[in-house]
Amino acid sequence: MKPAIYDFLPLAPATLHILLSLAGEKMYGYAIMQEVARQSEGRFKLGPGTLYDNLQRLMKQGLVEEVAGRLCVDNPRRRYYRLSGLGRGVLTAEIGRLREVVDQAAAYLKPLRPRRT
Amino acid sequence: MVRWLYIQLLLAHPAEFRQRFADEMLDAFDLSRALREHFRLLLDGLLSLARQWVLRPEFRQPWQPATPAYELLTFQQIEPYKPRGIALTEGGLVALLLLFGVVNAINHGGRKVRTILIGMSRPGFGLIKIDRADLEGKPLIAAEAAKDEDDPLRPFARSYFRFVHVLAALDADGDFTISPAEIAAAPDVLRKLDRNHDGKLSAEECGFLPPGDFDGPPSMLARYRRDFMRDNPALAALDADRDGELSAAEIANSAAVLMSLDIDHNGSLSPYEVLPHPAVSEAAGLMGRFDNNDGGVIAIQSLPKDDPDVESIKRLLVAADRNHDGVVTRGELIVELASIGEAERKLDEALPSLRPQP
Repeated sequence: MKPAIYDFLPLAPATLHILLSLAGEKMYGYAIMQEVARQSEGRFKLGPGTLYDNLQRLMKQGLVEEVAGRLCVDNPRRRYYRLSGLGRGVLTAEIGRLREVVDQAAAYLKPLRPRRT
Repeated sequence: MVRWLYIQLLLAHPAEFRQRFADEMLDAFDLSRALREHFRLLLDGLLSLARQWVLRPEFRQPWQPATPAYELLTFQQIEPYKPRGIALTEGGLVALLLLFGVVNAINHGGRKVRTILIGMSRPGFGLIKIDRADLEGKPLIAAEAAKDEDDPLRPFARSYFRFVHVLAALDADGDFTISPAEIAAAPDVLRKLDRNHDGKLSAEECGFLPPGDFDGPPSMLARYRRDFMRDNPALAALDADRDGELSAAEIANSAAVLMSLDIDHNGSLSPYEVLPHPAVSEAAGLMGRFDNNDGGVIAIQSLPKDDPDVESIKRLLVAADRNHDGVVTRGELIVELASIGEAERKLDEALPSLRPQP
């Protein structure tokens, strides 16, 4: 049976950043690490161990897929990964969920803001 | 050096993960230049190693060797030596003989083979000290057993327990006493007597044996069944609703009911507590003999004239007929017989010398 998108939610921070990195284009591992650091402005540094552990799991779950063939001529060790259709759906759902969380948080926190005198 | 350590870490990963990602991880390591970054990657590699072995067992496939089978390390014999067939046969025979000897020695308990004893052959210093003063003046267990055998009620109890299947089943150890453990196990034991698996115990399943040549009406047979269940104290107690059979609820409640028979409150049921009262047995015998129309009562005026005991029976029945209605019920008969028995017992206690000696 095909897994439902909402079965994967909520995503762990590392998973979310990896999926976000791959949302634009296919990437190899080191590029994903750099992209995650860029997205988080250096606050979230993903090591290779954490990255490939997550990639292994995401590929087993069908959220990420490897691009067939060695695309980098200079470095044959590199493999490229991209989001699958399911992965894109999961990422979209997670972003929507986070948006709702942010909206609700904004609504709750609004009365708590200090009034300007 | 740090790179070598990182490679060792990668080699320690599960095979599937290593074959799939080790190259890329090393590539990422090589692309990092700063030494501080290398140490961070080492720590990351250690965490990855722990995560893979502890948290990712579902991703590990049975290891498939990449090398040809002849290169694998296998168990080998030190020498290409195989015992001769005759040597194996002789060894087997010697082992069998030794086994036979040991078993024989154990079975004979050192009577025939006195020299083969396990443990000490004479009393001496032991690890467990026994204060023999505690044993003095107390009867031995064998003496207790012999005393038990002298109990005049024991032969009757043996027959009775065999007759009432419920008691035989409850008395698991066959000592004619229903111990606390046996009482506690009563519901399970009684359920095993349910041969037709209808969830309840009929009189037959409790031990009632219908007469072999019985050709009377079914109502009479039903009455016999009820009498059987009523005349045996344990069954009478268990059959709370007096319908002549033990329902599932009555079976489930059997342990508590049996405890109510424990007159001396010692936690177990002795034969004295489960055997029927003599008055009940005698009343049952008289009812069977003189209740000719199966009415459950004995009409005093309809006693058979040709019975040699008719006069004494008539006196008994008249005395038992407390309400003077001319018929004696089973209950009236039991009360009268019990009062006679009690009077006899009191007479025995008060004037033993006047009673005829056997």
